[in-house]
Amino acid sequence: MIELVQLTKRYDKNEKLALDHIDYFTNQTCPLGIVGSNGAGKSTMFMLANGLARPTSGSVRLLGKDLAENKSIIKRTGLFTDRLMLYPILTVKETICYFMGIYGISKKEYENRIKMFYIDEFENSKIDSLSTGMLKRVMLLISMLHMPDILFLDEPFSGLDMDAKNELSEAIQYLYREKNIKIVISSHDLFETQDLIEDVMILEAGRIIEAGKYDDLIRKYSKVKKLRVVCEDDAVILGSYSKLVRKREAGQMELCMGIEELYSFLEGVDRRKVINIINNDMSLGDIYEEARKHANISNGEKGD
Amino acid sequence: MQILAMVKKEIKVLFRNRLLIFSNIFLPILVIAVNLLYASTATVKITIGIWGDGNTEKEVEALMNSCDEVVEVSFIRYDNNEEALEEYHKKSTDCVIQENGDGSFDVYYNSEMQKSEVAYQYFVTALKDINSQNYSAETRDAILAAQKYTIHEVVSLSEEKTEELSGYIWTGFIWIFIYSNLSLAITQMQQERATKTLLYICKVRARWEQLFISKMVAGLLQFVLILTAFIVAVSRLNLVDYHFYWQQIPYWFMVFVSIFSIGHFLGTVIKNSALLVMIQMLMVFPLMLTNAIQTSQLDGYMKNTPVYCAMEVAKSAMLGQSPAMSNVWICIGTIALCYFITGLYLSKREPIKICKIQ
Repeated sequence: MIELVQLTKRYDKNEKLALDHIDYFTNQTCPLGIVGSNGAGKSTMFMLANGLARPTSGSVRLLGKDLAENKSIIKRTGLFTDRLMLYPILTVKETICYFMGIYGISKKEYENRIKMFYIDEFENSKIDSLSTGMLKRVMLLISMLHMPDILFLDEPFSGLDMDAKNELSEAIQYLYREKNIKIVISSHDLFETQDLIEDVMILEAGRIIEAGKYDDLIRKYSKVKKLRVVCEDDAVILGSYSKLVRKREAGQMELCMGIEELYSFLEGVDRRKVINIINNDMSLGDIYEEARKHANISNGEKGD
Repeated sequence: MQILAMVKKEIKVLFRNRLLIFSNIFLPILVIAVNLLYASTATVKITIGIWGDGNTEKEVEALMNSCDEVVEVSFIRYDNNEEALEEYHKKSTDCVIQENGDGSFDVYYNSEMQKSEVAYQYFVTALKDINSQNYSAETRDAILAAQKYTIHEVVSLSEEKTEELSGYIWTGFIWIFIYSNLSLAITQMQQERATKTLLYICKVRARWEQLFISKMVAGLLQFVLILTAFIVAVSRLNLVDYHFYWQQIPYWFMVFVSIFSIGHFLGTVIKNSALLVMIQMLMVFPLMLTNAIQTSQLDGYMKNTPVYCAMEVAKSAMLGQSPAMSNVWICIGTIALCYFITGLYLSKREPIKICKIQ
């Protein structure tokens, strides 16, 4: 379905590679999450996959066809990105009708399409009067009006509050569950994204440092999983444990440690003063951090 | 279907842009008002060709120079009638006064040309007012002898009438037509690039011709509405004597497309807004100076530019005359070249670079 062969992109001669000989293949229809810090190459990959940029070398194959040879294949992909804007002076209805027109979709379909994301509630509002959440729903609808086979979502959750994130998340789930659209999503919001994806690709400095099924990656990295221990300040003489302290406030402290460390910790602690031991599931954020460590990437920048 | 959607969108975007509509209506009114104000207060400069056997010319000059403050007369002396009339036809002079040596004058002028009529009227007035002026007896006697004058009305080349007849109003309108359409075309492309909406066009692989045509249709509709409103207004106010000619339509259309092609070309290829404004000013403002203030000093610089040629075609179209073929070819060449380069640029360049996304 998506195949990247030695995909390389350099914007200008003097700049470093935005994408550095990327090889990737997936034939699964399940959602793919692309994770990486700023400048990792996520947006560049989306632009290349949608024919909006040309690779310096290598190729993109979508649905079994080489994009360079079959440019019309991009009609079967959709792109949602904050970088694209809409015409502020038009209403939501006019904007959607315009895009339906250029996609060649009959106006009879209008009612069905806007109900998909509850856009009918504000269809007569002007674009410039919409909230960020409403605008993103409109942009999501526009990106999939033509019912693409693959939909690329670049930072869909940025700038949204929790309610709006949940609404957008539901809309995305609807697309791949009900409409069988392959979703490829890049986001800084790993918490929202992890509930949507089944495959993960971690990009750093234009290279893939990890890729695979989300569940497989959880298993792979769970052996380094950490537990959080919350106890009173005077529960233990810290000594060598002081480096495990993550937080200290209101007479309590929180320590982060592995299973083996927990056993020795519990032997020296006043157990009556241990308030909680939290066994978190491995999150996408944890996987991202561990993958970066394995790839020897410094932790100066909080990842996506 | 695709182009229909694009046209509808362009019309809505254009007609809801109140600032643009306001400036497209307000600016012509402003320019025309300034032109009319200039015309009513500025000194009229007239040039009179003069020749004759007698010695009265010097007295006529002195008389006319003292006649009225708002008329500034200059004289060109000729050795013979033929030379004087030849220069008059070339519009080097506004009228020709021939002193016959028997106390009579022949006056050659064209009553349909504003400045020629002014020159004639001042000459006649000067002769009639001779007694009220403080001249030496010798001078007065010489001039009084010239009480009879013969009028020879000589019609100049018809294309020269434009300036005189429609004068400041039409000149102002054509200038503003060119300025506002050039500005509109540039703005259309700048907005598409600034909002990155050009990427949608690339994404759906719509044809560039459709994009440009849709923008032109919206601009044309706006222009027709403004032109109609303008003609109705100035005709009702009896400011101009307007005649509609069917021949106007294709020429106006050609002028419109050539201006839009320049605007679309500049708006697509040049990303720097300041540079764009500068180029726009350089292209259009000398045109205003050349035509509105009626100075010929910029003619040499402007006459080979596409915008100037388009303006000449527009002038001819207004009078229902056939424009000079050289101007027509320059307009056609401009359209072809601008859209060819723009199309080539859009198809060869990466969409993300066109929209400055990286």
